[in-house]
Amino acid sequence: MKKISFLLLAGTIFLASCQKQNDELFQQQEVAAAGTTAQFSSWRSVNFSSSSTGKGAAATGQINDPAIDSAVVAGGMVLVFSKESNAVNTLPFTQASGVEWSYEIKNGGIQLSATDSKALGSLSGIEFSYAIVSSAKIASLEEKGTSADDLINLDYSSASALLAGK
Amino acid sequence: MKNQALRSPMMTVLALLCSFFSYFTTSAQTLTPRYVNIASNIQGFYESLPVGYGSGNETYPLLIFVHGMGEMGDGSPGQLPKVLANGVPKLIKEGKFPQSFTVDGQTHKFIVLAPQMKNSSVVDVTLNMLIDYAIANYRVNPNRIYATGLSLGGGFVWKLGGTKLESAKRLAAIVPMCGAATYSVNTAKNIGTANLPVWAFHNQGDPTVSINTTNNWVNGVNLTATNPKAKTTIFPVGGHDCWSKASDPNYRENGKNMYEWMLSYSRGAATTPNVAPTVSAGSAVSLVLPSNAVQLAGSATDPDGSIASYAWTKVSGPSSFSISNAAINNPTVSGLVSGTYVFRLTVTDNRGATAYSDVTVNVASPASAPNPPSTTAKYIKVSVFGGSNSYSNGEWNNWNIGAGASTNVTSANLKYSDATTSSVKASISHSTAVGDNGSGYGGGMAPAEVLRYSSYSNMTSRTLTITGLTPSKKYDIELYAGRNSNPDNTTTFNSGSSDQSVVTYNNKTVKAVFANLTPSSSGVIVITLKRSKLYTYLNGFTITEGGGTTTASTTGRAAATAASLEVYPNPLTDRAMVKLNNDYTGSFTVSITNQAGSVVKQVTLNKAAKGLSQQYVSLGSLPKGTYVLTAKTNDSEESTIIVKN
Repeated sequence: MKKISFLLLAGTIFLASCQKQNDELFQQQEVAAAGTTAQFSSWRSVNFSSSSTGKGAAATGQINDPAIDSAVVAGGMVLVFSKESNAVNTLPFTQASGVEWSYEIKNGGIQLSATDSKALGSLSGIEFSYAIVSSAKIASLEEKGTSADDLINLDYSSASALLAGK
Repeated sequence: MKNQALRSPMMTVLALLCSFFSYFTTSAQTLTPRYVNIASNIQGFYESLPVGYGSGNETYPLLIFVHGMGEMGDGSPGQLPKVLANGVPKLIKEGKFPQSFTVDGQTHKFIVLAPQMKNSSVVDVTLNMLIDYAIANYRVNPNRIYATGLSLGGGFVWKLGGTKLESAKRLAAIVPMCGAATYSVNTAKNIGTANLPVWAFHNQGDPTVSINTTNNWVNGVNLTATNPKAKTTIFPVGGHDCWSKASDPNYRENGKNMYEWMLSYSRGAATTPNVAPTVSAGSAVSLVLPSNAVQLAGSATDPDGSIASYAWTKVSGPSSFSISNAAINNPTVSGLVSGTYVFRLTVTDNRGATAYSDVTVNVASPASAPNPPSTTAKYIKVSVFGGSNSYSNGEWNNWNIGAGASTNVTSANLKYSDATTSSVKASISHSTAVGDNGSGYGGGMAPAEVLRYSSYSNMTSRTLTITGLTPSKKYDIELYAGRNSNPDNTTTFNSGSSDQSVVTYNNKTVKAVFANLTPSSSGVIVITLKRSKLYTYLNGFTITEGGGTTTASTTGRAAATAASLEVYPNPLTDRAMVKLNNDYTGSFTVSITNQAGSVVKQVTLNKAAKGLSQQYVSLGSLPKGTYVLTAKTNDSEESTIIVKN
């Protein structure tokens, strides 16, 4: 019985070590594929200021980040994701409720915008994450076959894997 | 005898050993699930190793099999078995996949990997990562890497095969079965250029994926493929399932099933000297400020391989400039100032040889005019009018040319849009009649005010003469030609050596734009209207008196301030980045107009700071097609064509 237990334990350790090796291998491959210049933020909340327009309601929120510099605005890209009750979406998108999310990238940060032809609900429970993709990174990805259209439409998990090696 | 054997321990052991070896030398390949994180959309796959794979040094052909949409999943133990439903994994599971294939006297055994795809994201990249993994972890013959797939997976195989030329050259053959992937010119070109052997299958009456898809791919590949040409097998039946027959080892054409056909091709190691690539940085460019950006048009080819990288650098010129992406063939250089720039494109091929080419970009200051250019453009907006009620919009002139005017009709002095009087008059040489498009014929890109009434003429050509202009100033002129009937009548507007044609049938979106026109010394500009069939049309026109400060294109209205609009990516499938580079701040609208002239989407955005900004909008709800995207601020408007895939 002791021998069987020992064999099972040894087998488990062997398999686990193989798995670990494989994980590291793929992580290295993904980072290599993505380059090293993408920056992925943690999830964070944003304060929104609301306004009412003749065409409905609007709200804007600001994320300041000096890493979003003129070079990023000129030739890079910033992907923004929202998380609400564990539902993660890639911005810009239109919620089923009709809220239309968009954003602007300018030197120094991101301006988030939500509009609705009727009224906006509370936005306080929504968290945001973003990935800053430099022009060099885009070029690196394009060389490896990731088109611009692929890149701008990445979902969060794909972006995490491709850009941050998560 | 039996009892004697059982009584002998030695005989029993021998019998068991015989059974053991007999089983492993005659049994078919087996499938082993592997839960490995290859990439975000490949978290697991089935591995099937050749019988007798063992631990020797022999290398084996690799066959990648990609399933259809119904078998997608996250690669977990609960979902991975869906991969076994069709195609090669099913054959292996049922013991119907041959242990070996003999081609040209040589026997081959496949390593089969059947990944479970989680989604359709960057499939060519992730499938290449699976191949990388296979090469690193199995004894794969790198000259014999094959791929096959069905339906959506067949589409993935097209993409794996040709999204990148390097990928096409890495594979030895592919077999897409009723592949579902939108035809891509570049992808097909890569497959053909690499002479990647293709055998595509489809059912004639496939109700799920049109047979045109496969035909388009094969025809596209064969535009560049020389040896071998892509081949197609069309089964004369309905239904989507062509794979059961195509992947059946007993289905053969010319004596080969699809596996034997694949194995008849391999990639050989390069033995010839590397030939350097050829490169062109494009034609010299001349700009006049305030236009200070241009998209470079570099190109390169490699006669014996592929281009591995592009690198743009500035060789000489002013220090002020920026390059959108120095590592692609056609970046945009912006922020240019007056002077002469020389930019160099250096390319490196897949085996390290380099070559370069230079392009000159001359940026000139605006020519000085006898009268200082106006800092604010002025507009004269003219609507051809033929009804009883004129438009009430005060910015517009209502030019009533009457109905059936067959000789010259000249307007009174036209007013500017700010209601001040100008010295400008317009004269039209002929009008058979003025047609009423109806009040519902609303505007798209062209202003609604001009679209209701259209002067039409059955003359071969007629002229619109504009007098009273200032010879020292520059003018942009837009002309509108929409007509709610009479298809296939094209009005061609001519000014000097420039022709611009507008198909007038139900057209509310395209206009003719002539930029930076210089009047004659007597202050006259003449526009000629020529017909393609029965009639020419004219609904109205806009004159921008910009003093040379304006920019315009065939699709964009000249604006008071120079602006730059760029949409990325284009074509697009869902999200788009709209890049605006101007001094405007505040809210503005982005409108999407379809080819029928209807605004199908409009969003209000905010530009927070002067200069360049990126605006991200979702256009996923639009049907596939070609649209005009217009960004409109309080004082400017610029448009560009976008394609939604």
